[in-house]
Amino acid sequence: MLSLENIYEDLKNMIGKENVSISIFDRINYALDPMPYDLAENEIPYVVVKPANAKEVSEVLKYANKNKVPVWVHGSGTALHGATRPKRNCIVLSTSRMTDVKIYEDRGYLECGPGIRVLDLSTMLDKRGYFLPLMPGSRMVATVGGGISVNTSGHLIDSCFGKPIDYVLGLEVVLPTGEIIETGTKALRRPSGLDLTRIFAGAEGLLGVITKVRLRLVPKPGDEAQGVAFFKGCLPIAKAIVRMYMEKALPPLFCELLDETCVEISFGMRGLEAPEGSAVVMLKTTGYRPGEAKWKLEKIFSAFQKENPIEMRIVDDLHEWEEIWSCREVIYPTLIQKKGPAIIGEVAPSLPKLPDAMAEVLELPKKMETVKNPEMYLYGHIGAPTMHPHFVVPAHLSNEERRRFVREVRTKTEELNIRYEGAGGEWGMSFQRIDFIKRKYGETYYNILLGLKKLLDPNNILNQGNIEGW
Amino acid sequence: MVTLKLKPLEEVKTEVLKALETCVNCKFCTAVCPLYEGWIREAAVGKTFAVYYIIKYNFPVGDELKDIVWYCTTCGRCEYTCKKLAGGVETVNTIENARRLLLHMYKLEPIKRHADILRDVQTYYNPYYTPNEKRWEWLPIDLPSKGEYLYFVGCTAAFRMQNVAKATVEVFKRLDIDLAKFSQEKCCCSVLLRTGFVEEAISIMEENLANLNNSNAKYIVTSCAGCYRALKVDYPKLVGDFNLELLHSAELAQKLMESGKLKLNGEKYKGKRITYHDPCHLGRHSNVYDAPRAILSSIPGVEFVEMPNNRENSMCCGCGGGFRSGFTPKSLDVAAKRLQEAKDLGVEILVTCCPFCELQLSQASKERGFNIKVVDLMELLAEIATK
Repeated sequence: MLSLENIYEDLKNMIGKENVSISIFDRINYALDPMPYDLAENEIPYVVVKPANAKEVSEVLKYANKNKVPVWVHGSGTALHGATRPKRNCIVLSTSRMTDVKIYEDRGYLECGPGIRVLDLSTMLDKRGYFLPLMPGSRMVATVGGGISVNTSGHLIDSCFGKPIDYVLGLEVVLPTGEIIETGTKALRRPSGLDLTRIFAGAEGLLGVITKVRLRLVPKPGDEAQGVAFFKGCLPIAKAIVRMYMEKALPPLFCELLDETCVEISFGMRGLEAPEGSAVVMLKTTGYRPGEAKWKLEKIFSAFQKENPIEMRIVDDLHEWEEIWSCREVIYPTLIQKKGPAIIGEVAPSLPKLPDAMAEVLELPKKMETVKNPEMYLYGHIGAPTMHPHFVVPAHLSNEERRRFVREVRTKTEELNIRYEGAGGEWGMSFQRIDFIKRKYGETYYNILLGLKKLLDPNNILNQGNIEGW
Repeated sequence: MVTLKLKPLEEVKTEVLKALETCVNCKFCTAVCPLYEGWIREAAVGKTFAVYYIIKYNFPVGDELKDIVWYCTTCGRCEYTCKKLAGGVETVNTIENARRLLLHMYKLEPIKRHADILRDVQTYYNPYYTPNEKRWEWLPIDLPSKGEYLYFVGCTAAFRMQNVAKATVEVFKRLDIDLAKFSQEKCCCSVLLRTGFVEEAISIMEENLANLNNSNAKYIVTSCAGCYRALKVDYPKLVGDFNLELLHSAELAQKLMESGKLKLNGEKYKGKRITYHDPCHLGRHSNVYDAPRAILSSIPGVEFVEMPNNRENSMCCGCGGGFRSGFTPKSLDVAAKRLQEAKDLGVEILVTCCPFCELQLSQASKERGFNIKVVDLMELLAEIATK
């Protein structure tokens, strides 16, 4: 039976004592996540390790397999579907030391460690005239490894710029049993047919630890345009989005919704004008030729026009746009500061069902049981389409009550995803969404996932508890 | 009559838990903390949740907490970011509350250097272990003890960076300000408040408050950002209100410039490239950003440039919050990073408004080989200000 001291000694001999910690305070800090409840005993790790490279990751995983100790992979610990919090006492493997970046302009790609923060990489690329097609709202801290592991778009609309995996040329992965493999290519054509890159990108840390990412370089679209459209409520916006697609307007880079109360609060705070009682959709389009972005935006607007917006305009003043955009970008923390802790859902319906799905989302508070008629606000990447119903967690709830409330929000929003034919698109599918996978895709599908997990991770070392669900 | 406003420790515990209710664990603070180098405990969220779990779940209190909760300059960069982009947690107050709780409720032994500083402030009324009678010895001319503007010199300027104190007196006397010395001055106690020794600071603060309020002066003037912050923010919160107006020397200089009583002779610094370092205690903690800039950008012939991290985003020099005394080599690393920012701008002169920032940055500049002259705004004005 391993003791904490044993684990500490073994791991510090492996990767150096400054890279290992059994301090209880480090351990809780690498387990905490955005869920609005405290850690339970089984969620507290034994130790935190920070390996420097694939070889050290491999040693840690071999050790974990030998001693049957679970390992949790930690990028930024900011996943919104509960996936980052350990479900068992475990070794937390932080990727924070693997932050090397090499930009090979002559090859058209970059290689980076999984621990490099999205905003840091984006800034490096921006300086050289490239664009990083990875835009989670948490990009200040979210890691590239995490973004690829979840294959998340965030604010970026898939139908405009694709998903992160579209840009992944190859990966270096350490399998749960410690073998190091490389996938993909160093050429600019991604392999067609069998390519294990596609297994590991989006595997949510369940099938291997990504230790290197090769991403195609994307030249920055030099032309941008932005605009806002105010409607009487959210439902006309849902209809406007359907129109946008039906009329073959090219999807924008960003297309964000704020409901009436969110507009009142956030626009009001910044002294920005908005028609009374209106909901807003704010858009950014991009292009490579001067005028291209504005042309795209005008096409979208002429589709929107058919749903009778109160007001619609192109925003030319970049300073004004920054203010308007920040209304959406920080609506989650704004509401938290004003109203207290929260839990948000992700509902991503099929296109023709967007208005009906939205109508049901707006009715959700009436259907909640663990908390009667909770306060709820609506915002989201409506152009994707994705909706984020934001539920306020009453501050007086105990930890147990909060867990039940969060579970109910998840269950009810996933039920809408099932009925309205969607499957998320921004957050991962593990842990809190395993119920959804089972209900939507059935037992056969779920068993394939379990089989894949068992094949690659026979001792169930990585992120144990996430494929099992709640 | 001075009212004791000090919150009891049980209330402070509740305050810490309540402050963290809106923390969403986004960890954005790790992206802006001058001390973050890869371990979450280095930034605000790591400290606040350590204390949360101590208070709520009786996690053990031991020596390692000195390297967590005191490993922080309380610069407030995290708080500014949290307010703008996240849950709006008052991180500075929470970390200072945590320090107070750990020392007084959980009986944690302080960092030795901090215990020494406490002993010195209690014995000498300054942290520089010098008899307080010598506080005004640096004066080049005699100043009366009564006047319209009472100069609160501050311990660092009085006992270490006397160039700042002398320059302040010289400039305001040159401009015919009715300046007096606060002859009863004792340490403002900022150094104690920032390191958790709140209880111990109260009696000295009460004396300062009473003596200032009985002085018949109209204004308190200080050239120290730390004293300014303490007088502006901590005194009203902990001991009581002043019946005088508080001005930083930069604010007074700006007022004089704008009313035509201070003119700037740009000859000496013609063609020089200068930048300004916002002291955390003057900037983020006290909201004074414009006064020094108004002066610096008015010096004819001088090229004033902003560092990339300026105003609310200003990067700490590393000395505040007990960090310089508790973690000296690391604090100089932080100072070096700030100087690199200035070096990358190609500036020859870095101006600041805090003798402690000047002490820290000029030591780092010398020891780490940066060729940047670090001066206080008042030292600059002593060379170029005229009536």
